[in-house]
Amino acid sequence: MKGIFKVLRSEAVKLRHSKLSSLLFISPLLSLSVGIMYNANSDMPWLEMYSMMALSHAILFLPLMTGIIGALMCRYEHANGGWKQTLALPISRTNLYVGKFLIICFMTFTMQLLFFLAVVAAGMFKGFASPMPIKEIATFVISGWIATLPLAALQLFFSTMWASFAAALTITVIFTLPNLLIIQSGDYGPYYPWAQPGLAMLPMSDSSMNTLGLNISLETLLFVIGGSFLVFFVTGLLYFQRKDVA
Amino acid sequence: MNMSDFIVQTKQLTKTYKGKIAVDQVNLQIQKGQIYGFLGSNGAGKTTTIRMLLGLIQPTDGEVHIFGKNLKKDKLSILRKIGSLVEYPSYYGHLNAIENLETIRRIIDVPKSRIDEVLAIVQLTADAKRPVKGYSLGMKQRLGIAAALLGSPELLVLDEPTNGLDPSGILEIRELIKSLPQQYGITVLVSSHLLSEVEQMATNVGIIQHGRMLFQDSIETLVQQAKQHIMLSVSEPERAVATLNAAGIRTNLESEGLLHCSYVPDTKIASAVHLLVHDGHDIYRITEKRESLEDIFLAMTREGGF
Repeated sequence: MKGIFKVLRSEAVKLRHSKLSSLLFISPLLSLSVGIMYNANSDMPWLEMYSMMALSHAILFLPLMTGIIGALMCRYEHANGGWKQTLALPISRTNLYVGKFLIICFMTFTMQLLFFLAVVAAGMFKGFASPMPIKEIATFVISGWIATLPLAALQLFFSTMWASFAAALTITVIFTLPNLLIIQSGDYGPYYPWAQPGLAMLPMSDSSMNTLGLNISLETLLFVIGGSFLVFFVTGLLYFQRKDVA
Repeated sequence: MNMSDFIVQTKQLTKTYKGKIAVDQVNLQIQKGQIYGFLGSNGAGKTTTIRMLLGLIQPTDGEVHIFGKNLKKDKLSILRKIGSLVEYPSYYGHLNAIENLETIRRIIDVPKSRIDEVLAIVQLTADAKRPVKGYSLGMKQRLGIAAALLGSPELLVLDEPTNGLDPSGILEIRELIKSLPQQYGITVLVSSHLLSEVEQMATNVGIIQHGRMLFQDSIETLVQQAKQHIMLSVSEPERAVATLNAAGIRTNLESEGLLHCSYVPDTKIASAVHLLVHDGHDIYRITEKRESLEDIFLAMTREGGF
């Protein structure tokens, strides 16, 4: 535990002067403009506007940005021989890997928080008469974040394996773009890891499927999200522990 | 010698890459306070050996013991007492020197003041607040050494630390390395492909070629292997050779009528000269030729070659 904390404090220094954090604003700002331009006309204006805002964010940008952040996570180590310096330090590879993963999670969580604030700002701009369904929207946002965890784990695995940012990024794009089609499929959508953020953030018709106060069914949480997370994370960690640093 | 007397000891350390042997049963032995020069041409297996000492790559076979402990079992506690700079310096270009060292300091837990200390040692204090991507190679190299010194290590591992430096930079680094054992009690392992460099700073030397250790001992022992030759230039070389050989002084006739005797003590040379003068030869010149370390090194690596 102490080791992971050391890694987090060390990684925080590496992120200084880095433009990584500005990436987190892109999707929330785009969503904000979508929300402001959209004219809701149902009796639930907040949720209607939220759904419009969440569409591009959850289906496209959230999985894409998770991949980009993950791909950038090891960039400085790959760039100028950082691996051999870092791995010769008295810190276990497990702690280092977990630490880097937590940084990605923290970043995606921040992005979700910014998206939430964008919804609040857009709604206030519109001046909806009804109060904001804070709890429901917060549930969507947090569910979406949980659904990104397997993607973050897979991307970190690729990032440690490949020095090339482009290669890592390509994988993300290749898996994310089909989302637009797969998410609409009742047969494949529920099992496709990249579709999970979208499914978790968009309001479901049957709210009885929710578990643990999340907008995710128990089966999906356990088998699809939990299962793919475990497979990706453990594979990546085992690979990293054995990796020869040339 | 007891195993614990060695700071570094490898036993039959071996690394193969896809069936190709990079390091072949190397038994490296370094004692406290030594500056151990690890010498070999590029691709001889120096860097691969060093990476195994730091746990960066896994040995295919053999063991590494550092500070008397097995690297496999006590990796982190061993690494805590090692500072390293492997091949070219590692750095985060977007950060300045202080921030670069801070990323390491937060992992090894040393006081903040230590950053200023090591920057002063490598003379980077004036440039400490500039992004490192704007540094010259020499400055990056010095930053790498500062990073290696940050944790006040007992063992410093420097792989080709003067690579790419200009002559004054090389001199600076060399003086710095030489001062470390006396000033801070640090044991140093420094690799190089340049004999002259190892000769100028090391107390001990290991020579590696094609992954095999060819020689490992003190610099003095290496120098003692340098053979001494006496060359004589005389008026009648052929008769002189016969005379000397008859008197039991082994002599060869070289090109241009020069007489060549190897390994001769002063008294024998004296009697040889006496004999020749007595025999009516004119002696034009007597010269001594000593093999340089370079000659020994070349002879050794040739013998060890394939």
